[in-house]
Amino acid sequence: MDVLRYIKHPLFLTLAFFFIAPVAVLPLGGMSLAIEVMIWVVFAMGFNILLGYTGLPSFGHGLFFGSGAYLFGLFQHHVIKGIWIPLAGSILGCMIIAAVLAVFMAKKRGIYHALLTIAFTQMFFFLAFQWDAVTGGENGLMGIERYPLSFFGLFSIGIESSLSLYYFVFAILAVSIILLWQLIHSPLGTVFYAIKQNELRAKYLGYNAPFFKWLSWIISGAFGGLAGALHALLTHGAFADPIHWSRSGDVVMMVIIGGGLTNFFGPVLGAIIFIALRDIFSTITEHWYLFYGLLIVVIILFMPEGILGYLKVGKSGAPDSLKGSSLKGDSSKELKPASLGLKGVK
Amino acid sequence: MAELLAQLFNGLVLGLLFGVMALGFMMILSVMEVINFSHGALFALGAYFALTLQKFVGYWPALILAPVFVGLLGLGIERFGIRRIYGKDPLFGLLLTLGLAMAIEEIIRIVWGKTGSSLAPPAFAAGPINLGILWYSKYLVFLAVLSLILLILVWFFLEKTPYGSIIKAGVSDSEMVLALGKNLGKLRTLVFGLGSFLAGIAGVIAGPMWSLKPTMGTEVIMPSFVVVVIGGIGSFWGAVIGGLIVGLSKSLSILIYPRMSELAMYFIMAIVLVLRPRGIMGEKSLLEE
Amino acid sequence: MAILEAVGISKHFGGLMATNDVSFAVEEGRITSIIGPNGAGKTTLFNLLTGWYKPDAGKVLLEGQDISGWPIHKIVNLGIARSFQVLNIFNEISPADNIRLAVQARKKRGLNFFRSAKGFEDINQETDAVLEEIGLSAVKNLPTKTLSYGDKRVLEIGIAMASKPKLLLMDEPTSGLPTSETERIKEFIKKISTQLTVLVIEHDMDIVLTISDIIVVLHQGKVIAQGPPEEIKANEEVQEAYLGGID
Repeated sequence: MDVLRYIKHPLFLTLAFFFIAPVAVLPLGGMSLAIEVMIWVVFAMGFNILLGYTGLPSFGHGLFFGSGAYLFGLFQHHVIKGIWIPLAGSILGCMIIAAVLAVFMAKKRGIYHALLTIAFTQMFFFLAFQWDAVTGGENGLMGIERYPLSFFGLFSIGIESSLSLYYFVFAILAVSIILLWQLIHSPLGTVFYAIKQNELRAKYLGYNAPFFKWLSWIISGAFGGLAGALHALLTHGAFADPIHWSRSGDVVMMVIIGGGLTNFFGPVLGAIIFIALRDIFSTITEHWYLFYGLLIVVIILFMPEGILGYLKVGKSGAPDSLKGSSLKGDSSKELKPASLGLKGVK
Repeated sequence: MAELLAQLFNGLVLGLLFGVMALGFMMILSVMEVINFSHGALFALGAYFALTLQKFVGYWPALILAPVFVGLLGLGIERFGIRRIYGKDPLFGLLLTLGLAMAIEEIIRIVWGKTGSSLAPPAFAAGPINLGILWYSKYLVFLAVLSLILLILVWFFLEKTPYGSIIKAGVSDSEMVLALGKNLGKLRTLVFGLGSFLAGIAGVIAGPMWSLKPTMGTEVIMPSFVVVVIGGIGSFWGAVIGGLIVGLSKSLSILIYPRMSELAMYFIMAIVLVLRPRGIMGEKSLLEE
Repeated sequence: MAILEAVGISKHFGGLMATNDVSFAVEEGRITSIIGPNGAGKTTLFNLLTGWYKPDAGKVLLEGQDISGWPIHKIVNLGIARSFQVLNIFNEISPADNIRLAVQARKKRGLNFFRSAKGFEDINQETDAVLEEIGLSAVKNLPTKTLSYGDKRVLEIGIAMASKPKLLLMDEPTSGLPTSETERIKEFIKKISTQLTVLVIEHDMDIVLTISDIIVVLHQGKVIAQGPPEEIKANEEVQEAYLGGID
C-alpha cells in the first residue's frame, strides 16, 4: 500500500486540512467564519457539477441556497424540532424545485439559459421577500435552532457549540466531497463531462442529453439546498439575500477564482479565498464593493482559468482521475465570425 | 376609475421606458451574445451625469451630452473588456459586466454620495396636467413622448440605415456576418456603444420620475431581462410589446395586490415560457439547440 | 431489404430549399455513396436522416419504422451511428475515453454512478478492441489534442464504430487527409462493410467508384440520379452538375 501516494492525494489533504483547522482557528475566534467556508465549499462544489462539469452556465444558484435555508426552518417550525428530517426536507425540496425549473431550461442554448437562471432566481427572491407569512419577508425566517442530532433515538450528539457544529458540518462536507468525487469518476460523471465538451456528439452516441442535463440540475440543486440548510443552522435564520441576482455571482466567482473550471478542487480554494477576501475588504474599506467588482473584472480578463489553472496544478478531477487534461469548456462553441448566428447549420 | 386610468397611463409610460432599455440590452445580447449586467449601472450613470451637467449647460444639452458620455464609456468597455472574452463561456461576459456594474455603482456612491438626489425636470414639463378625466403628471407625459421619439429613432435606424440592417441580419445570417469580415469587430463596438447610449438616455429621462440613488440601476436591469424573454430576442417589436406588458403588469397589479407587483412580470414570463418559449415575437432558430 | 429509406423528405431554411423531395433507399449489407457538388445538401441530408433536423415534409424509415422527427439519441439507439466531416470528437479526454463513452452508451451504463467508469471489465475490453482495430492503441492515453490530424480523423470514425451500429453514416471520412492516408480509409470501409451497412458522403471519386454498390447523386437539394457506378458514370446530367465530367 503506497501510503505516501494516498496522503499526497488532494482529497485527503483537503479533508485533513479542514479536520485540523480548528486547532488554529478556535483560539483566533474564527469558528463561525470557518464553518461558513465549509458551507460554501459544499455549495460551490455541488454547483460546479452544473457549471464546470456539465457546462451549464447558471447564474442563479443562490435560489437553492436560499430555498434550502427556508425549507430547513419551515420543517423545524412545522414538522419536527430536529435536524435530520429538516435537512432531508431541504435537500428533497430543492431537488424538486430543480427538477421543475430544469424543464424550462432543458433545450435552451448557453446565453439564453444563463438569462433564464437569473430571471428565475429573481422571481424566487421577490417571492421570498414578499411572502412574509411564510418566509418572514425582510426580516427573514428566525428561530432556527441547533437541536441535538439524534441517532435512531438511541443516543444524541449536541451541536450547540461552535466546535461541535464545526465537526458536524465537517462530516457533511467530507461525505459530500467523497460523493462528488465518486460521481465525477463514475459513468454518469463522464456523461456530464461529455455533454459539456460536445453535446451534439454525446447525443449521437446515444445519450439522452436533455435528460442528463436535468439530472445534473437536480444533483446540483440538492447540494445547494444542503448548503443553505447548514447556513441556516449556523446563523439561526433564513434570509432572502443570497437569492438576489447580485449575490449569485458569488458562487460563480468562487468556482472561477479557484480554478474550478479546470480542477475538481478549485471550488475549495475559491471558497476559502473568496470568504477571506470578503472579510478583509469589508474591514479595511467601506467601498469594498468597488474592489470586489474590480477584482471580478481583473480575474475574468487576466486569469479566467483561476488559480489552480494558472499554476497548472495537478489537473486532477477531470474524469481521467489524477492525470488528464483541463476542463476548458466546449471549444466547438467558440464564436468565430462565421458561426455567429445559426450555429451548426452549414 | 381615475385610479385605474392613472395606473394604466403609468404602465404605458413605464412600458415605453422599459422598451427603450430593453432594446439597448437586446441589441447587445443578440449581436454580441453578451448579457450586459452593467446596463442598469449605465442607466444610473446617465442620470448622474445629467445631474452634474445640468448645472453647467442646462436641461436640453445635458439630455444629449450625458448619454453621449455613457456611450463613449460603453465603447471603452467593449474595446478593453468585452472584446477579450468573445467566444468564451457566456458566464465570463456575465461576470465581467457584473463586476463592472458593482464598480460603477460604488463609484457613483463615492462621487455623488450615498443619499438620493433628484433630477429636476425642465420647467415646461413640471407640475400636473389636466387630461380631462384625470389630473396627471406633465413630466410623465413628456417622458412618454421622449420614449416614443427614441423608439421611432431606433426603429428608423434598424430599418432604414445600412448599419441597422446589418445589426438586424447579424443575428441570424451567418453569410452576412462572413461578408463583414473584420468589420465585425467594429460592428460589435458600435452596438455596445449604442446600447450604452440608450441606457444612458433612458436614465436621464427617467431621472425626474424616480429619485436618483446609486442602486437605481439594479431596479431596471431585471425588467430588461424579462422584456427580452417575453418579447423574444432579436425583435424590435418584441422589445416594445414586451416593455409595455412589463410596464402594465407592474402598474396594474398595484391595484390588485400591491405586494406582488414586482412578481407580476415574472409570472407572465413563466407563462410565456410555457406557451411560447421563443417569446412573443422571437425567432425559434436562435435559441434552441 | 432497405435498412434505411428516405421518402420525399424536404427541408427549407428561410427561403432556401436545402433538401427537395429526396427519396432513396439504402440496401442492407451494401455500400451506398452520396455524391454531389458543394452546397448540394449532402450533410443536411445526413442531419435529416439522423434526427438533428426535422424534415418539413416526407418520412425517414429505419427498417420499416417511421423515425421522422425522432430525437437524435433515440434514432441512434436503434442502431445508426454517424461520423462527421468536421472533427467532432471529445477534445478534453483521451482517445481511450472517447471510445469508452461510445461503448458505455451502447451498454446503457450511462446512469451508473456507483462504480468508476474505468472499472468495467467488459467495457474496457471492448474499448481496447476498437482502439486496436482502428490502430490507435499506441496513443490511447495521450491527450487527444496532441494527436495528428490523421489520427483524429480515425478517432472520429472509431467513435461511431464503437457503437456497433447496423448502419454507419460517414460524412466525408477522408476530408483533409493526404492521398497516402485515404487508402487507409478506403480499405477500412471495405473491411467494415462486411459487418454492417455503410452510407458514405464522399468527394474522392476514386474511392466512390471503386467501393460503392450504389451511388446517389445530389444536386441543389434534389436527387438527380441513383444507381450502380457504371450507370452514374454514363449519366449526362451528373456530368453536367460536376462541370466537366467525373473522370
